Amino acid sequence: MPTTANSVATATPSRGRVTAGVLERLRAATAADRVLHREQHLLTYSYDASFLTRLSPSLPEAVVLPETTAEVVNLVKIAAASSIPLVGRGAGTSQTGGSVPVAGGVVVDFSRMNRILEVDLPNMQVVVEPGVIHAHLNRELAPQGFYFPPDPGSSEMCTIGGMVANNASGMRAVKYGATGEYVLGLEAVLADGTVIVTGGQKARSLKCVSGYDLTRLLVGSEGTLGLITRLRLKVLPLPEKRGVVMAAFDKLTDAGETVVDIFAARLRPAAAEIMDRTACKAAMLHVPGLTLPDGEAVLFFQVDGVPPAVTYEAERIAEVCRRRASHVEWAEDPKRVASLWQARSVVGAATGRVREGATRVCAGEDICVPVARVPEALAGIQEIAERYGFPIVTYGHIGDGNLHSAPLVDMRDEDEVRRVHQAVDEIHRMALDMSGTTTGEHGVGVVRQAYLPEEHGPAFEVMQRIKAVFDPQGILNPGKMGLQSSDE
Amino acid sequence: MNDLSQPDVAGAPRNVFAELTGQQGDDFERYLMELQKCMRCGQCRTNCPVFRFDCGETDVARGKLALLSHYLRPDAQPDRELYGRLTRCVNCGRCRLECPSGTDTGYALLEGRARLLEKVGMPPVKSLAVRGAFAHYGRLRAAARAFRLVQPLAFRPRAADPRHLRSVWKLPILGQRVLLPRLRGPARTGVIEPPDGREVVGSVIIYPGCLVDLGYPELLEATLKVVGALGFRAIVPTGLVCCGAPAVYSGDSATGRRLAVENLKLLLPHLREGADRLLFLCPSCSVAFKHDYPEYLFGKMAGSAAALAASGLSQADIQLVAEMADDASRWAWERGARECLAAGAVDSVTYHDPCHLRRLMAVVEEPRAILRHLAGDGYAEAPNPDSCCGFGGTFALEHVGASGAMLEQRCHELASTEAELVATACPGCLAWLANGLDRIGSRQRPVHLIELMASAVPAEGSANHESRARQGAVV
Repeated sequence: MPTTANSVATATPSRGRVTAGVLERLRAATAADRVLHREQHLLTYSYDASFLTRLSPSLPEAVVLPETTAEVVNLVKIAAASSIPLVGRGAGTSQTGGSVPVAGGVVVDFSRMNRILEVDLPNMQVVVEPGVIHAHLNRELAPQGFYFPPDPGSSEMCTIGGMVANNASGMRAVKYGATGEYVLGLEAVLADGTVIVTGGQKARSLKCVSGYDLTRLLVGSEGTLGLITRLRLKVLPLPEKRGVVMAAFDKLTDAGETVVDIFAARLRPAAAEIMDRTACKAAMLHVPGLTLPDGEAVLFFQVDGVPPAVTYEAERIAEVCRRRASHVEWAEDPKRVASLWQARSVVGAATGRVREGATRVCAGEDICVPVARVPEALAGIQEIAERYGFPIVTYGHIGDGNLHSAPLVDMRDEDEVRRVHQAVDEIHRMALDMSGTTTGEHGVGVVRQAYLPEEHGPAFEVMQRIKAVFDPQGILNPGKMGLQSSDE
Repeated sequence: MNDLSQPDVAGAPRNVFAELTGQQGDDFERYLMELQKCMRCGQCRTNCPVFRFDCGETDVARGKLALLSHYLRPDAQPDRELYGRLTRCVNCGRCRLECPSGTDTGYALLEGRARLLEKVGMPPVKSLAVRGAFAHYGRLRAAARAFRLVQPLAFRPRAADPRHLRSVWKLPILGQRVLLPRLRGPARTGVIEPPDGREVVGSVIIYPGCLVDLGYPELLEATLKVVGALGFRAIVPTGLVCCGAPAVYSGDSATGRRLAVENLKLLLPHLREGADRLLFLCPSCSVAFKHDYPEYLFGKMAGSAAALAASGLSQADIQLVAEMADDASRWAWERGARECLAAGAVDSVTYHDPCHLRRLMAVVEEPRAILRHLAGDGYAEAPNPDSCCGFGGTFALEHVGASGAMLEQRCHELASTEAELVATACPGCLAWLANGLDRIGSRQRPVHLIELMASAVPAEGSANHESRARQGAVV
């Protein structure tokens, strides 16, 4: 039976409350000014970027901002003793309700654990705390010629801890993979306060196949198995050069086939991005003076590496694009690269401009389908948008089939809000019908948990058993990923 | 499965936007739409200078907008606590400039404060300062005059920086010994001609602002010297009042509007007579004239059209003043100050960007160009040029802990350059940095950029200029 947000919220009758005594103990375990409990504070921890939690916020009973692993251990023990839910939170940029305390309890906000502890470049690794902002890590590494390759669109705001907990990725995932590929080891506090270090307690190695891969189990576990307090990450040498190819297509299907052709031609761009017509319009409205070639879709490829290879690869990609495209342009001069890439980089921010008086909402925003079926998925999303009567701007990572669709909604129109929920369900179902998934990089949280049993079948029951082993009381981020059924 | 469409996580979902739309007229609808725009992405967390220290979500625009949205509910009970959270902001404008979804957080937060103020009222101490003193400039001057008499009894000069006096005792509220400029104002007013023998190429109006008027009149003198060296006649009108920033940022838009009208009526005749520019030494004042007045008098926050009509000002008048408003140092540099400022006049200096100058007035390069001209290789860029000193006007008095933490952090950054002088271009930053440098035990001395410029004007120019000044002439 699919678990719903509703049934989870009222599950587990033995769940404890945050009493005055608990607050006192939390203060003793951390510091008085790092335990928030006034309603006005709690209101601001009741949402993330998801549409669902904007409409239905859930207040925690307290928020704690720990500064050390020892403090996390203490507060976990306090919560465990009273069966109080614990919800880890980075910057609250999730679009899934993942960091929202839907069952109450204590939010553990890692914002103050934001130190880069060690930069060990000879061994190609860094050790960081979970609250480090992604862009800050790369700004620290760049002058030394290294970088942490995963590149979420929310680089400027999201935390590394949140990225790992959701196995986030970004545009360069085509070539470099998701965040998980770069996690060498994790320190995590388990539900009973035990501290484990995965990937070898003292290891500095870049590989490790000793024992079960608990690192990979914690990556993407969305705070349901443990609270990550320290991360050992692999970093790579920063490519010397980047180039960009932009190509416009009259037909969506031509864009899709071009991407297939590029891989068939043994080319491997770092990023392969698509913007549909609505997305191009949004970008042009956002940046005065920006003109994009007209067509059903525009593709952007990024290539990186040593300079001669970048030139060669960009030329070859442009050549393949010319077979079907109405307009092709490529550049390796940094200024021109930036101007070509501008349209793609602003589109996330620009979507709202297409419709005055409306807001972009995050719902059904992360489906991932087989690469060859991306054009079909894009057409399907447009068809759904027209049927439900509000615009959906779509752009995404065509290189791995991951699409971000942004419904533009006027929240003052109650009926429209209702229709959004229905349209989103259709988008998710379409992805599953196309042998895709409901989420490529954002995660499940509350908003997609109903689809998990269908997506995974018996494997989902194994997930539930794993959850029970790690967290028998069900206090770690309850109400997420459908892991606790209502009769529990 | 469609039960997903009816989430019911903590009580019934309530779409307050749908509930309230169409009920309260255009102003409210505009406010509603702006609150709706924030998609909760969290970008404002990254660069908010206040958030950086305590990392509490109520400190960032996203949190504040969420609170304002929540308190739209007719059954919600806003209180002074909420007002206090909303004023925990230095109004630096960064969240607005960097908002991906284009939310005008400046407007939404100020409108929110204004609506809240109507319901909960201003805390008495703050009201005494903002409405009692700043709103009636004569009273502020009288208070400063009275304070001047007692200041020498309770304050002693700081050795490294004698124009700032340190309090003998720790002051209440702030819990610290406090440095203040030695009060000497009011600054002079009148028409000041350029030095002898110089062709008058034009005229500028100078708006000194309260801190220069009462605490740093020498900054006006420095400006007059630079303006005169460029061949401009300076007009410092008598009767100017507070720019309104303290009221506006506190949510008291009515007072802000009244002060705006008073200032504009006084300045407009001079601008109509052909003055080239309206120059400021305080970026917050310039932002008031350039951005806030249009917004408050005929823009998003104008209230009723009747108010503008009653003031006798036209939209074009207000626009004219806004277009003329400029930072004094920036203007002088653009006007060719390089030619009349001695290169190498300063040994070693670093620079602190005032938030309002850097972001809302977009003056970033000119101060650096000036300092490079004056100090050559002696100019040292400090780390994190985007950092705020933590002053933020009444913010420093209301949110002492956060303000102090911001100040000390910034002063450590500035001290790391080991430059002798810390230049800035705002009298508020100047006074606050004096406190911070003292607290961290730095020997650095804070100065206003315009003073360094004036110090590089060749000597005979200044002598002539003094002799020609028509002191106290009423205009």
